[in-house]
Amino acid sequence: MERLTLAATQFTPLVDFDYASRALTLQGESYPENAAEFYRPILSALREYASDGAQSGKTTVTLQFAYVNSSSTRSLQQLLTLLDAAARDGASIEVRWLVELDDDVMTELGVDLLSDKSSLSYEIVSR
Amino acid sequence: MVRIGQLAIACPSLTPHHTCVEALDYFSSHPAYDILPIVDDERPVGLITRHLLQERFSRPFHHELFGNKSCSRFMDRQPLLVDEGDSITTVGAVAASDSRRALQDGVIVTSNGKYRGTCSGPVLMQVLADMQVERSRQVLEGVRYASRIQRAFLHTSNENLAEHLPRHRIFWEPRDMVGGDYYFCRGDQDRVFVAVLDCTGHGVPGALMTMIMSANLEASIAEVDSWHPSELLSNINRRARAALGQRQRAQMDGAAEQGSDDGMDASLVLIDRRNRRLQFAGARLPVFVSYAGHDSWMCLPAGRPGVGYADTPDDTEWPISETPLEEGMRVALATDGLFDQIGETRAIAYGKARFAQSLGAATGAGLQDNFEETLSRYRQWQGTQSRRDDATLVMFEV
Repeated sequence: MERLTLAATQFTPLVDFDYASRALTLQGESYPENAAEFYRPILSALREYASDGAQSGKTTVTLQFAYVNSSSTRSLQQLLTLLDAAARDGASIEVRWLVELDDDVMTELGVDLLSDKSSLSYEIVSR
Repeated sequence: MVRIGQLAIACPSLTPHHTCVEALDYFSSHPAYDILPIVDDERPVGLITRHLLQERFSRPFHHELFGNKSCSRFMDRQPLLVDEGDSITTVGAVAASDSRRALQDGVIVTSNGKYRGTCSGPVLMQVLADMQVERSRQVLEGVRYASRIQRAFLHTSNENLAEHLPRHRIFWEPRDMVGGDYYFCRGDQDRVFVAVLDCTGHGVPGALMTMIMSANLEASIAEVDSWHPSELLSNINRRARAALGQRQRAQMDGAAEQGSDDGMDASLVLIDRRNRRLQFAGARLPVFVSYAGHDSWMCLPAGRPGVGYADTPDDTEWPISETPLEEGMRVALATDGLFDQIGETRAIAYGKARFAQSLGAATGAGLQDNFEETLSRYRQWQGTQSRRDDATLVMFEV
């Protein structure tokens, strides 16, 4: 699989899905006009990754957002549901949700998105 | 549809048998033309630009060396050829994506493969730009009209607010003229129902969602036959999921890849004067209330799932909370646009805590000052940052 990288824009986060080092990073703000369209390639890459060989080592997912609109929240929900399912199937996945100190909204969003993912190992890190 | 043929100028052409000097003469005798089509037996074979030819012949010895040679030496042998029937938009798209310099140098227009004329780069660019401006203007006009409709649709709620909660202030600011935020008010002798909805999306898709959700809210009120906030949320949830066909998708991998997965956040408040209580139910949006003094505001938290989404089950219930109703108490309902706004000084969200503090900042002030102070602190936080979302604040005094 080719490494998937997208530079951050005003409306979309930096995306770096590095299969070789088993790391997925999303960082920045997310409020594109059509969130489903923006996240579709990321989700399908993740599906492909999960179906071949996600099991063979630890995958680190780093999510750091300053702003996420509601339709992007839906897409992140799908992304984390996918990861949770992969973890349930035996993949070792660690999600790090990074928030700036004092950012209640992003902390709350992290709790909201992650607390019901029973198979995922995750931490919400405020710094 | 404008066709490129309409823009073509049938300027005279030369053939590859003409010399460079003849090509230079052509430009001197046709000052209006900056490109010269080279045509062989009615078929265009190249394009010479004034700029390139004159630049070359300003070099030493070019006249002596090339003056009597074929002008084809200095022509672009692969100019962009387009058919007179092609639309301008198509030509523009091809020209822009083409590695040839068509947008600069221009294109040759053909009719059944035969030379018909040329269209210069600047003319093509100007026409494309004008079309773009016109298209944007039409879209903008449509959105402006939609904004009138959306505002008009708030009018019944405005009347109810005026009648049943005369001391109220509203800040309703869609980010893009129309949006996904909406407020709603109905009342009778001893009850007032106030709701603030924040639908997925903003702009036109958001505005469409407000139409769907407010229709569902009205239908739910009729069906439930009460203004019970929690029952209404459950009822709207069922209706919205059915209306948008989102029930079927709930089972699918959490993914509604093609179909819609839209819904809303909402806060619903019932002022019940007869039973002297305020009832509240919220889906991801809290309500803030304060009693005498208004320096400290209490947040009644919302239930977790959003309303209407594919993965919000039909039997979802949102918790109801209650607080005593007192004369003079104040209530504030707001949407995410306020809480989530990124700040100028710190690039993080404003947050509910800072918002709650801002509500209590104007101690002892009247409702108007309380409202203004809240908004002014929010705007101060935003500073030069762009608005991320639609924003609504409804504040009233009982």
